[in-house]
Amino acid sequence: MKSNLHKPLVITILSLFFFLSNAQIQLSGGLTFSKLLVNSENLETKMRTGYFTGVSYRYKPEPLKSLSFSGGFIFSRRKHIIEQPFLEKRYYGDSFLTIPIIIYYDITPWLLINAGYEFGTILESDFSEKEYRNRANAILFGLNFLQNKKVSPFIRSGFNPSGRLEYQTFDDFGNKTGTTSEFKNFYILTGLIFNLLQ
Amino acid sequence: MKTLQKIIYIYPVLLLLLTSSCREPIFIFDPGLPGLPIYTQRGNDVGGAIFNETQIWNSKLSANGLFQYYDYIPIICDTVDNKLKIKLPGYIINSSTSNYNEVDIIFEITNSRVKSFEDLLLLDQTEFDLASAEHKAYVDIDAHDFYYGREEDFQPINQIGKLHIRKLSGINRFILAGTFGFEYEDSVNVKHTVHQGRFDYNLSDVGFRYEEN
Repeated sequence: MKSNLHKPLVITILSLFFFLSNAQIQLSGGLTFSKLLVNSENLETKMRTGYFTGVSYRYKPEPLKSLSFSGGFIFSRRKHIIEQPFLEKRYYGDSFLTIPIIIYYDITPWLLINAGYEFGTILESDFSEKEYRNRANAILFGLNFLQNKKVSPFIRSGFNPSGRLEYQTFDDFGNKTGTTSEFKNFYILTGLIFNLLQ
Repeated sequence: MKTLQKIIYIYPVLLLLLTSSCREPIFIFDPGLPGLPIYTQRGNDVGGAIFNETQIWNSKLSANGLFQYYDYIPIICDTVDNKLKIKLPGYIINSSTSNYNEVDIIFEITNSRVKSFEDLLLLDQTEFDLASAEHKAYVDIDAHDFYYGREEDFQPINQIGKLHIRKLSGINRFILAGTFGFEYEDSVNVKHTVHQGRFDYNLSDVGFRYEEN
């Protein structure tokens, strides 16, 4: 029920933003640094560099002087390294399409703190087996700089607390001990926002 | 014209046979124990266990029967003594030489209900206590031929452990998936341990044979 509701809800919110007269259209692009978090003594994961591009619109309601909101679409290519004794070093990559909904708070005129949530889907992945889940949603947190300039830098991190690989665990004699999940998505986006209309 | 018709009819059948025999194992490594596959139950044709605490045992099952001895799980059914013998073919990599040593895991369970390949479905969701005198499990380090020229009846000493058949279902081609772990001493009192065992295989009647008493 929840998953059926959230897509129309996001589209509705985005549409409302779009038709607001004082919305600011933004293009963005830059680099992604992503890592799959894993809790294992026998496995190590490392960050790799990817890229992203996106379009968004930011709305700043008149009565709320320090608050603003944004929505949009981001296409990102995220890459990872998994190293372990038996598989050696392996390289993986995913392509995400996400819809971040973000709230900004102006700390100073040139520094904004932001937080939000993004919905989305994994368009293509090297984790092709169906045991790997499509975990594209994430909690967001970040900083934006120089909001009143035509080009403004930003940095944002995203994290999904649910692992992409969910599996059962057993004791030495094969008795089931529980279920766990590993390979949680963590990533950092950093790049530039081009403010087109304001 | 008839030749053309034959080709039209035979070609899809040949293609189907070729593609069906090229099914590759799907190994999804366990993040906690990366040499082993995670436990699945969809016929990934993989298996793994930790042998004697330090070595990784992996299944050798391959769909490419031209180059591997087994491309199926061999099962021998003894309808007289109500025994069922299941072999999981596999190997251990020798860390010093990097050679593959063939090591098979054998289960011998007592069950009066299984008299045919189709009866195997009765074992779905069954647990076997390997401490019981009725069942046993051991590793065949020399990987003897399972059907012919078998070694003498091996008797593990002081055995403990479990075999859990967690899924055995399907039509024509069954999925056999489960977990296991056991310990025993051999005839010269050397202790062997097989821990964290898990397997997920397609089972076909090609591997099912009756014991020749």
